[in-house]
Amino acid sequence: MSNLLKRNNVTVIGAGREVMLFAHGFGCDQNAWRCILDAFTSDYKVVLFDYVGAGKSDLSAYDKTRYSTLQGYAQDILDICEALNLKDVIFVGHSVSSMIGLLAAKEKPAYFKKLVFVGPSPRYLNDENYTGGFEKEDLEKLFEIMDSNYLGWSRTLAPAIMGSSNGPALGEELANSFCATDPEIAKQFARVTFLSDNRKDLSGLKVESLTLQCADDIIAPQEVGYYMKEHTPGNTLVLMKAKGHCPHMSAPGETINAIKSFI
Amino acid sequence: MKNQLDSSSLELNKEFLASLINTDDLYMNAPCGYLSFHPDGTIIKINRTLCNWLRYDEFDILYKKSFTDLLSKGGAIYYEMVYIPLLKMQGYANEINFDIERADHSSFPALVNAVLLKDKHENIRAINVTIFDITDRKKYEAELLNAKKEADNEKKRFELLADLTPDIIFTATPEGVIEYANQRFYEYFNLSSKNFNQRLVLKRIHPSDKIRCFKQWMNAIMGGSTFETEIRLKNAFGNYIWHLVRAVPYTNDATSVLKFFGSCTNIQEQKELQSKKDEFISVASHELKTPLSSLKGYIQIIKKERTDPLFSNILNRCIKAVNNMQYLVSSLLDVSRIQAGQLSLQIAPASLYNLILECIELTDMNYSSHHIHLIFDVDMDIKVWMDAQRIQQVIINLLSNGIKYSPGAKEVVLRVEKQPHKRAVKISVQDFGIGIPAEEVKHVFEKYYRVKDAANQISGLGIGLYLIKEIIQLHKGNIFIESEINKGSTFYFYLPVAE
Repeated sequence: MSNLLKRNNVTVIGAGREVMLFAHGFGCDQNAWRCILDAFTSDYKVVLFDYVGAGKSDLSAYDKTRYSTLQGYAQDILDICEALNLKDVIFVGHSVSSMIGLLAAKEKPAYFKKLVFVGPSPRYLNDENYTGGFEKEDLEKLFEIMDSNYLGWSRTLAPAIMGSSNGPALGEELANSFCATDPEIAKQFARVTFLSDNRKDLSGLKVESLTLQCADDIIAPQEVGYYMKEHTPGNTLVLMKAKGHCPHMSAPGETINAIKSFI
Repeated sequence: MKNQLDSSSLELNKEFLASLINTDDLYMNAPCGYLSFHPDGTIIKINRTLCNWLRYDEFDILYKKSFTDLLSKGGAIYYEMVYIPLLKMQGYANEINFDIERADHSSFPALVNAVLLKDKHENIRAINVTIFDITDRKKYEAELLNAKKEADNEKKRFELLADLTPDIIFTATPEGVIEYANQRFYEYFNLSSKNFNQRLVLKRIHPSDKIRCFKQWMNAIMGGSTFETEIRLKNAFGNYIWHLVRAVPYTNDATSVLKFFGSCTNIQEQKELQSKKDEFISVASHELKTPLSSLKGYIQIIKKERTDPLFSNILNRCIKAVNNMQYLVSSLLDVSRIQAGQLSLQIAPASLYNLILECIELTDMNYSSHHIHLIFDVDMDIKVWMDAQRIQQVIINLLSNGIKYSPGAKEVVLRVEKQPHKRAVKISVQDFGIGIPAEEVKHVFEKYYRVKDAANQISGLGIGLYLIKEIIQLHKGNIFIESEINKGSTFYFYLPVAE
């Protein structure tokens, strides 16, 4: 168990009996939640973690096969619930974690009481009769940018090209240390995230859920919010005033209120 | 007094320095782009440099465009999902590479630094951004990447080719450490390419070949020269197989070796054929020896009986022909003895002058076309350490060769000189004949080797020089050649003077 808690850098805070499990999105770690946590820690037991490959997780636990689908990440969540013996969890997932939480809840509905999706999208790519917001070329561009911003460290590619592919030496200053995800893992996570299609999974959800849809979110456009509401049984859609893709960071107050009134 | 002056001049300087700087101008025309935007992305301030880069008028941007409007859609995803969270958590985000889109939808690669400006309640007021155009750097990086890709492809091609050949191929550092070996190499020695240990390979060299191989390899490494040797290598089944091992130094300029390219070719079959041939020659020459002796005896009996001039002349010719044949057969037997390690010499102090005269006399008997010019530049009674019979064989052989290979000349020179500081005499035979091509010089002492152009015109078995070399080496010496095409050749060796 301690191995698993170390693997996902699990943090448990707060005083309540009811459990809230917060799952960060792509490109971040559990720190992303810090603007809204205080609103919940007095009433809830709050569980935070980093996916394997993100934040302070155990990079050596990364398994390319396991994490080649979102199901592998959903298993991380189930592992944590099992290890901490969590039941009736209120799950809050940002971005891709919405679908990860949905997959976990489909597999073990008993673990979950309610799901909160912050900026969810069951499919990022446009399809026939479906607006996901992106074309394949957009994603290629994203992967290219990720490559060139390898470890948030793009001063020059030369060392990477000349073979010291392990990135900057220990102690060398990183331009950006926060969210310093392993670049290879981040690349695979991005591919898994943006190329997945979970539209068919929506209908099987048996747990009550909330979709927080931001205004002007280029990652998850409004159409996607409506699609979520329409195809997910028991889903409530809240259209927020907050703009962008990270309301928990840009509009913590509005986000807290929306979550509180749902749970 | 001094302090006063300092402080007043400082005052003056401050004013003066301030007057030098126009911050507006610095901002507007900086060599980088400046931009400020609201937390919601709306651009509220921009400098002229960036406007020029973007090909926008300032008024088309301010309060009309959002920062993400300057990014591709892929860039915008990165901005929303990674960049903004990073910026908010950290307060700044440095050196992130985005492609910035211009008004005409073309784009340039940029390095973007951003910092959050907050009010005293920690609310974000604006984000200040500095943009560097890194088009040139990207170009170099692309070229670098390309060059690396090409080099990698080249390496792959080489390795593919190397794996296709049935030979063992390897490369080694200038110090002799094997750095690459083809698949055949690992198969032959039944080793894994991972955890490769060169010592395991060296252990597979036949014990009798090891020292010779190491010596030659060390010479090649020290001299940066080509390495070539024939050794037995133990294969995966424990059998020793003969291989010709070659390694050629690869240099980028005349001075330093970058690496050695090497190959090991299986010559087991050649070696077996060679030994069969040697065996046949040995048996055949033994079988020929007895009937030749009988023949010579019978001719001599007849010669005693028939003394009339016609018969006498014919019989003399017969005896000469038989002598020639006996000489050939005994040479072949010598070759067999050398191979079997059975040619033993009796080296003792012996007079050189008489021996030399005998050599000239015996050669003259067979060849009347050339004059043998003797230059005997040492004491007449000098004695040297030698097996007199074998040295006679060597000198006669060299003289006969000199005559045979200089059909157009009138003389050969036999020179005996004392070396000033060495206690040795130098014996040389010089001809004025066709000479030996440079590329063949190193082969002329090999068994059965015939110089290509001469082989058709001049008869011989190709064993004379082989025997000479072996005999001189048994005297702990070496035979040397100096040769020039159409000018002639000089063969020489040294013998130690006996006190």
